[in-house]
Amino acid sequence: MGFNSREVAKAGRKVYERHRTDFERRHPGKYVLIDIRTEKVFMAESPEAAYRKAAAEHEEGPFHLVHVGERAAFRSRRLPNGDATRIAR
Amino acid sequence: MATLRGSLDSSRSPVVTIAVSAPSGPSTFFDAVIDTGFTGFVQVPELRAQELGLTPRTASETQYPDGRIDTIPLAWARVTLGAEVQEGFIHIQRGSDEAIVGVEFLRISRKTLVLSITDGTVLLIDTLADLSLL
Repeated sequence: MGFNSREVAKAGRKVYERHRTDFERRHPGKYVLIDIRTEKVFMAESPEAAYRKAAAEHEEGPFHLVHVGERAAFRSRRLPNGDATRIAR
Repeated sequence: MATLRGSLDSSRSPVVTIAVSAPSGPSTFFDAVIDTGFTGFVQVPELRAQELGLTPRTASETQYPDGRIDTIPLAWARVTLGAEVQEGFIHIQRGSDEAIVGVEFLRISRKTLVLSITDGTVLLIDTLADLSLL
């Protein structure tokens, strides 16, 4: 696809680390979208709201999305290869 | 808006039909599992995303129940449910043949899920008051 998500995430994490202490103290639970090219940061209550803020400023990315205070932006209770590995609780 | 009916698949998971497209592209229908354990908007398999011309421009992480965290490409896309259209991040999932609707989709579309495994009932309604109209 010409888009290396791991490289984008790596670059995004470097930017996020500069803000981590402040964000996690003042904005836990918010979503942060980082344009790794311009290093601009867009914060909102949801991933979609953060994207709309970036789009309004004509930012084109690539972006890295972070959920402040969480290890990952999203959670899934099923493993990616479908029914055979679905986790039941 | 009218109440939307889904169904149960062979594993008795609730399924609803959605149409997914790039913001200015043709759409494709998916029978998507409604998964309240998925906190994202919508997930589609990588191959189907490529066929739709979904362009990933965002990377993010997803945590799985085994504790593993994977980096997932996201593409901005349009999702149609019944007559309503929503836009959001589509998770492009490698190694999966499933389309999934997550809780972010239910939040954005302001839908309430009504599910009865016993009766095979899967409904997406606007408010609980809609149940009295059925």
